[in-house]
Amino acid sequence: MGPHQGKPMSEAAAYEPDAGVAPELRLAECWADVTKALALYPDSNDRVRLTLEQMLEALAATFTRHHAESGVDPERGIALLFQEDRVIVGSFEHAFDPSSTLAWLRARLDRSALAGVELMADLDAESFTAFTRRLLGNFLSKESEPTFEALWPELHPGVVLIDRRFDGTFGGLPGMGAFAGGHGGSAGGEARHFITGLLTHPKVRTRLERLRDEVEAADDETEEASSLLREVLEDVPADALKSRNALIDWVCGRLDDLAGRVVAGADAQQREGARFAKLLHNVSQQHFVRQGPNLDRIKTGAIVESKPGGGRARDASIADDIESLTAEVQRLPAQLTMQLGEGDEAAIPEQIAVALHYAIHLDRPEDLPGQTSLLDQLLENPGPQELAVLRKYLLVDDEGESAAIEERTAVIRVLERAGRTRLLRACGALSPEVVVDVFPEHFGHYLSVLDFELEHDRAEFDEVLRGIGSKRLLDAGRRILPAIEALDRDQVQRLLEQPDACRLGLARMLLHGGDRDTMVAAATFLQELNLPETEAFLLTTIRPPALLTSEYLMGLIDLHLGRTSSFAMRTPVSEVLCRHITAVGDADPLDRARMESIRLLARYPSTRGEQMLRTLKRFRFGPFGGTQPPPVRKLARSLLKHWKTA
Amino acid sequence: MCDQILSEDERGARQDGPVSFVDELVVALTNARIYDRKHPRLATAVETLGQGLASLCRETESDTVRLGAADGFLFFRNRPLLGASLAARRLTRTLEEVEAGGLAFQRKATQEELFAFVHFVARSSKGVESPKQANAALSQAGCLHVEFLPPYEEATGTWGETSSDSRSAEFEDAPEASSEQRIEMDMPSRVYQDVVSSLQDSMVRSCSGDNLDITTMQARAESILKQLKDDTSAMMRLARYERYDAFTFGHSIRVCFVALNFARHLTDDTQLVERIGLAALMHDIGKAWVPFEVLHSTDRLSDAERAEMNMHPVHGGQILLGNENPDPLAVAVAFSHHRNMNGSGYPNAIHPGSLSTPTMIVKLADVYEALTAARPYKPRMSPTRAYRIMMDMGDHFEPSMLRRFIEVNGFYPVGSRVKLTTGEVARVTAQTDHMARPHVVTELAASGEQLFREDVAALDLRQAEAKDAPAVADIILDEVA
Repeated sequence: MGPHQGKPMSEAAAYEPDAGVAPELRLAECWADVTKALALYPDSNDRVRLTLEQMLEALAATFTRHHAESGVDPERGIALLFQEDRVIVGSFEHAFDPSSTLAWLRARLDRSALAGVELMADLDAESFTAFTRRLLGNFLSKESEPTFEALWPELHPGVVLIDRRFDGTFGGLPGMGAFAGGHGGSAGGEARHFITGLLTHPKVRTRLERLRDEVEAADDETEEASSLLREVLEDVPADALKSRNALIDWVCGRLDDLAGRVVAGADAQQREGARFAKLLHNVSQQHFVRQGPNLDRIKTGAIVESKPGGGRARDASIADDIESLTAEVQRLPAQLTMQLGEGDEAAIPEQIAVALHYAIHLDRPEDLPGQTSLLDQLLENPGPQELAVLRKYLLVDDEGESAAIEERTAVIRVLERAGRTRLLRACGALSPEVVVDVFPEHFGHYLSVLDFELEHDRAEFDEVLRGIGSKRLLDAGRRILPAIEALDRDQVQRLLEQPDACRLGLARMLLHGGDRDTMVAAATFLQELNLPETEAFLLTTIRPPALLTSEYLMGLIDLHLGRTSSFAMRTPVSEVLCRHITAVGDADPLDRARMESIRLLARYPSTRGEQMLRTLKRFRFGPFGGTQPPPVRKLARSLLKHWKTA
Repeated sequence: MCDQILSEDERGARQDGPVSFVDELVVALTNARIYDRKHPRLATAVETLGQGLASLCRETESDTVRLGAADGFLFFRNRPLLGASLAARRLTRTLEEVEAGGLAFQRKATQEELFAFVHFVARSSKGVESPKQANAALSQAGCLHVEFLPPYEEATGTWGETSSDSRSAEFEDAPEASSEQRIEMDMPSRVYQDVVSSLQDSMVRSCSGDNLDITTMQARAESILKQLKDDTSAMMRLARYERYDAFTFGHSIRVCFVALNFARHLTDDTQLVERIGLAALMHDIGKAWVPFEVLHSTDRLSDAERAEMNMHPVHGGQILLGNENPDPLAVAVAFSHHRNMNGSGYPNAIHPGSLSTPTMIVKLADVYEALTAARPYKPRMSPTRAYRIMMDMGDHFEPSMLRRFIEVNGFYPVGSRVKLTTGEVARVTAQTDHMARPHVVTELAASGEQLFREDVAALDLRQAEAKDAPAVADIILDEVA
């Protein structure tokens, strides 16, 4: 954030009161600051609020001081007046720099025909804001001949307007007693408004400007010009004040006359020039918002060199704004902290986060075909930044709370669709601790991202299984079965290759699900554990679903035949087979299983026992036999015959 | 061409009536593409079009309004409707396909007839190859008082043979008669017109639930960038034409221009800049799903309406993700362009992260454009004032990016008109290393007269510190690019 350190940029430059400054000056400066702030920012802006508060505080401090020290009537307000380059607050007077904010404020007051204001104790921020908005609006107005009423159409509680009036030479115009009087009133008389209009009238302004330029350029006698100008400004006939047009015409005529005489030649600049220049300086300062003749040089008889060109009248204000804006812009950090392209570390994370937002918030994110391809593309080669985003959605948020299961599940689903579930491990979302902790949630995803070809993965998986425990694993049964069934066959084979007691629970579950090979692999795994569990155990405790039994048996037969040609079926197994053969049911797979079982019995004579013989006989002749399909009965008879012969 | 577009006002030849009529026509045609016959919005658009027709007939004291068409432009009384034509590409294309020289609307055309006409142009004009066929189709649909005009015949100075007296043409309605005088649409104008047309198409597709034509939009972004590189000033000036409604897309195009112009100063990676251009073009596509009444409300929005409005970034991302292989950059920009650097803004992200540079670029352009554009509820604001407000928005923006944005755009943006301290009026052609002192080309003398070609001067205002050297006195607000 650079030098602003997280604060609003403009606030960093806000006015800071100086304890050593007189309250009157502080009040004036605060006023200027408020005005400037309102010129730049909306009312709700922090800087506006801050400067308003400071101004009202400064006003209160000034009131306190004036009432305590001077015994001023508490019903009266504090008057702030601008005269030339000075601001006057009661007996306090301060000369300000032309480049200061006070000079900037003064320019705006001039455009609004104000010399200053009197601020009352009950002034509030709202009223002062409205007053300032009007002041600034007047400054920007293109109205060429504004009347005072047009400039100030409404009252602003707590603010008494003080009309602009002439200083020095202009102060005592005849017939303008009301105007020349005190500055406590908010409404001037008719004469004052005529004068205001007169001095802002383009015709008059043009002539004054021309006259001023001529005087600056001339190096001859100016006594006559000076005299005539005074006459113009001091000897306005009372009648002329009653008619605006008459007044303007009269003044223009006099100024034209004056200009003609100046051009014709005058020489007493050394004698009267200073006075005349002062007068022009006042006019320039008050009505044209620019510097008048250089008084120092005039006094020494030097010729003023500068001669502003046309169109400069508004330059001062524009330059002022442009310069201040330039300064504000240049206070912003120059060194770019954001990069575009490869250096933009926020780009991909932002894009991933947006895609995940939709994964979580939409009911059917799978309806967004672009989402999957987008994530697939973004997560092709994820770096630390990308994984960090995933981690946010899958692990722990900023407050340290676990991300909601639903949220996490939604994210995992979309990653699944994008084929990027491996990233779940990469970003730590499926660490052994997490998997054990949230089991059975995400167990399937965890299984899907393991690679049992890798010793590391097998070891980690064993760690997870130990953490979960056989009981939790079997309890979770149905919830994790689909994931187990979905395991790649090679993965299962790899997992069950080496017997390890910690995988016992998983192996038992694999007996429930999966295809024949999986069940056989699981059975073998269990046998090779050298646990006291036998095939009978497998068949009796696991109880595979009936429809899968034949597959299992056939697999078991294949396995046994494949592993050893001298395998002898043990009695318990034959009993189980016997029970299986006699199981109630007529589904085709069951029939096939029965027939396979009978063939198995035939293959291994050791399985022949009393029970088996009874069973087969029942098959052949008993009540069961009648319900068995002919091929089963035939096979049973064949086996009995075979045993009899043997 | 750009000069002609921009000088409409200056010539005092502003043609509000026909311009408004064409605008209403564009709105009605676009609505007809989105909504079915019974939709009240289409009914309103057609009703407004009818009012526009009546008003224009009254204004011109004529019973028939004829719009000529040539070279991608619409004409009214021999004068091209330059700005309005920029948003009417689909209409001019239909006229070209039908090989028509224009359209004639009679005052007595009823709303049903106008409806039949817009419906025909919007939906059923495919395969129609001549004005005769088109008029037959219109007649069959019950539209007897709107007619496609045959191609304009320069030799006779008429529209050719028409089917009724009321449809006979007057010379003054035709495009410029002399081929020497005919204006040709220049490349920036063509690019602009194509962009508007594509955005209209995207809006229609979004509303209809169809896939967007992202490839075409990418091509549009490429064209804009190329034109910006060739002649930034011409392109930026074109963006001045605006009618702020859902179908002319002035805002999106201007944001695109400003964003592209900024982005190309930050990187040489043309492809990336084009992607940013596409993102800028599409950043408000989500507004297609914001209820029309909310989007165009002139009253203060209620909380519920505000919430509805604030959904447009979410809708935008969703619309883009509804397409196969969307550009993730465009999705992110559409979603995040109202989020702020300090985490405020909307929509609320579950895990808010940093804004990317492309998002920041479009966000800056978006806010800047919104501040400096004229709207029905607010006047245009100067760039400098806009910058102040943007700076005051604190850490909504990344400060160094904001500074760079202002430096690139300048206090007087390229394409803007400024008044110089000499009294002359000049056009800003390029920025310099000084934000307030651009390169300009003078256009008008201090007297307001157009300068002769040989008097036109290219000035580098960095010399303004020298005594009496010209500087910018003020920006001409109506012509801020």
